[in-house]
Amino acid sequence: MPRSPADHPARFVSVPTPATRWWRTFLPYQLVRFALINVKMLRLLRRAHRDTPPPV
Amino acid sequence: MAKIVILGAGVAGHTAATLLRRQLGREHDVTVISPEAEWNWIPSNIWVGVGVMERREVVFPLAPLYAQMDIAFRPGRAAALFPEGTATDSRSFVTYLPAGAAPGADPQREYYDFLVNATGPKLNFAATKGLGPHGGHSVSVCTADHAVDAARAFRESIARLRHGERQTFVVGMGHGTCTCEGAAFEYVFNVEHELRRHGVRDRARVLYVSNEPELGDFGLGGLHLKRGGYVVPARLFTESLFVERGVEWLHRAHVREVAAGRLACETADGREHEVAFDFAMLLPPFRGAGLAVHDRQGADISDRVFTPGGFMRVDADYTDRPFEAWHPRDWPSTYQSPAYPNLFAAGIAFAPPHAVSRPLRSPQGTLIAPAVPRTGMTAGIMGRTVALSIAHRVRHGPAAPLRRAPFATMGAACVASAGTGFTRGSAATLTLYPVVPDFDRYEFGRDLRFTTAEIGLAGHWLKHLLHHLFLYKAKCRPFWWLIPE
Ligand SMILES: Cc1cc2nc3c(=O)[nH]c(=O)nc-3n(C[C@H](O)[C@H](O)[C@H](O)COP(=O)(O)OP(=O)(O)OC[C@H]3O[C@@H](n4cnc5c(N)ncnc54)[C@H](O)[C@@H]3O)c2cc1C
Repeated sequence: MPRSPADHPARFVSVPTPATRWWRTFLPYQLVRFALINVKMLRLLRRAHRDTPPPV
Repeated sequence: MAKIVILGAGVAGHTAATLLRRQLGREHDVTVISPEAEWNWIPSNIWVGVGVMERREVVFPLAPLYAQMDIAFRPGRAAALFPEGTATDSRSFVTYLPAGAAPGADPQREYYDFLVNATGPKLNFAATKGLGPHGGHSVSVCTADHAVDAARAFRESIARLRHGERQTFVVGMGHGTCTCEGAAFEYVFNVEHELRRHGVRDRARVLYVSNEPELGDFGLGGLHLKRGGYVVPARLFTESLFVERGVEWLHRAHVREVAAGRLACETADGREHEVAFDFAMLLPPFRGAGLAVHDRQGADISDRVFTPGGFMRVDADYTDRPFEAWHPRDWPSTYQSPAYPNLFAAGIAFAPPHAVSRPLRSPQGTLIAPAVPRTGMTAGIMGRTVALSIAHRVRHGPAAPLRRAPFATMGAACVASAGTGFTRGSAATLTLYPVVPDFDRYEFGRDLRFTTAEIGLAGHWLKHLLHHLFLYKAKCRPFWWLIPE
């Protein structure tokens, strides 16, 4: 447990497993994530654009 | 011929100026008044502030670019608006103090047909005693120069750690009403990452002090994510990251005073805290630029155009209501001043109608309330919207419709660096839609299909890519306009 006072909320927090941490820096997987994050951002831009009302 | 004056050459002002120049023929005049000679990609100041990037990599001079683009550049600080002109001259104008002018020098006039106020934030270090790099006891990363000073102090602390001393690093918000928690979040994890990289982490204590009601609130009222068959608050993942990296935190906090090596703060539960530190990077609360406004007779009408905080009133609903009564439709969409139709605000300069994150009050009555972050993406979109509206009115007359980009329904994509390195870096990537939660449309306030978060190396690559992409766009290199805000 990282150092925190005994009554600190860090005692009740979820932590990543070693596998989760490994995936975060595993190059091939991160390359795929990189592509997917870009897709997510483009989808977000499209979504926001759809809600743009006409000029007034 | 129309004359458009833009106050401020930051994200919003520069976007507006370059787009207007692209939209309008050379017979129209685009003028920028801004006190800084350089454009600064502020998000990368985080990396300058831990010494992994040079100042020159995050700035470039504006004058040569504006000369090449045929944008008139007046280095100086806008002081007062005269939207009705004077008793003898009905033309609207703004006064400004040229950069380098002697104290007491006469302000210059710039006449305008349209004016965009994109003056961003005034860094209000004075709100907290002893805060900030100008005679205070903490450093900042809000400007490139501040970040250079922060890096110097950080290097000194690392040298002390190398000599076997222990050091406490405090990073966070220097006042209960600060905004921009994301920047402090990035900085604290970059500090932690660098301490590990230098092999001195074991002798360092890292503490994050924030006014957020919960970690992961970011002034946006937090967000929810779909994970493992559950809808979970982002707080879960944010706290997890803090614990994983051994960063302690003190939230719901208002810093009252910063002294040499010590700060005093109170938390919303009424407790007083005193924290000893060796290095403190604390962000200031923001005010508006504080421009004065005068009517034709010279009377001060600033409160018709600006809020007491110095932000410009636009087409938002500023009715005073309890927090529970706010609605996304209160937020603006054209950024036009209700007082003067040829006056617009973009970026941090516009006055938000209310908080999105629930304001707290300590038993002593201190307000602890993160203001809504107005990020680079939203500032850029506002700059674009206002520029297109003005260009349209220049071409088709004053009755031409105005473009709308409701702040409430913008999306936000944030990449928060948590450490650099091509193979060892990481960043938290966040997408959320809409910026202002809408509980009428979405059970959790936001569309969970577009509200996502993840942490990893890919985020760091993206953050690096964005650094180069936005500098490329700001420098107006070939096809710059294809890059979205
Ligand atoms: C450390 C830090 C990190 C950040 N990281 C991110 C991030 O990762 N992603 C993100 O989206 N956002 C980030 N932000 C927020 C982002 O920088 C702002 O949203 C953005 O800069 C706002 O744009 P703006 O044009 O409103 O203000 P600014 O970019 O601050 O521009 C304001 C301009 O007005 C000028 N000015 C000031 N007063 C006057 C005056 N009286 N007359 C004329 N000109 C004046 C200033 O010199 C400046 O040129 C960060 C902010 C900070 C401080």
